[in-house]
Amino acid sequence: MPDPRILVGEIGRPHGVRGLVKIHAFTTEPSDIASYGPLTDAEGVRTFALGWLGGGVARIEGVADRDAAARLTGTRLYVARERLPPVEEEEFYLADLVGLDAATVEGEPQGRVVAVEDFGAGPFLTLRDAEGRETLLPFTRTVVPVVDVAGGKIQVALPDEVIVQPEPGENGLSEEPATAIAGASPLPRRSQHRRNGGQRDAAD
Amino acid sequence: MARSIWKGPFVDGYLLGKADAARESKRSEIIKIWSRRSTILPQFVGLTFGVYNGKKFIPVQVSENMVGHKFGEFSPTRTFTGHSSDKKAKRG
Repeated sequence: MPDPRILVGEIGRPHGVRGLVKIHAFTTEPSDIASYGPLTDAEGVRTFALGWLGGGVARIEGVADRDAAARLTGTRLYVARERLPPVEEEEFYLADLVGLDAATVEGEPQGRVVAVEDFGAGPFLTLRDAEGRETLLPFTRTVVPVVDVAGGKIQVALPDEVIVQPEPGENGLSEEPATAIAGASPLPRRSQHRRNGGQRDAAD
Repeated sequence: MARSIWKGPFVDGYLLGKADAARESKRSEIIKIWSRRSTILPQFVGLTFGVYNGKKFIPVQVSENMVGHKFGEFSPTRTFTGHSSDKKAKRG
């Protein structure tokens, strides 16, 4: 089951002498960290009501001087999962996906989701099995037809793999013939100069 | 300096054949490639490539916006770690 609390930020160093602090927000929009209501620390004991001032600076309710703010430096801020707004269709919080068990349609276990990443070419899941092997799968309806967050599992249809081995020319060797210019050396002038032991060619 | 227009986009030739075969097969498949330097062409749109980053094959689902970029741009070679926080993923 996903963790019911989600890490959304961390309190940084004090800012000024009136109890303001820098906030390291991990949210998509930094200012969103203050919109989820009171946040708690790692133990869930203390609560912090943030007032976002912009520029990564926030006011914490009940903290009025620099010393009090300095004592909070390094405190991690968590929000309850149910405080996050509902997602649209086919959208999932990454925090919900991480930790789900993956199995094929036939029921063969494929490991657990350890990360969901997106480098600009669509999100993909990283599955890690019991032996530590990692499998990267695109997060599409074809490859991941079933996502059961409440049940803590996903169903995957492993795609075929076509391996295209690198061919000559890919490792920096040019396949194109050298440009043929009458009387020209294939080496650049500087290389030619070194090859001659620093002596200028007779033509120079 | 930008590449001269008269040369046309660079792509490793053997990718074209593999892409054609993948499109005709209409199966769910990942084409694993090492050619990070190849330009993404319009005929690659809709296919999924696994682009090697030196350690693993990063899935790259080619969309129209990616045409003209290189495969390597979507397969970073440096490790990035972040927090999932309130970030979302949309299933394609």
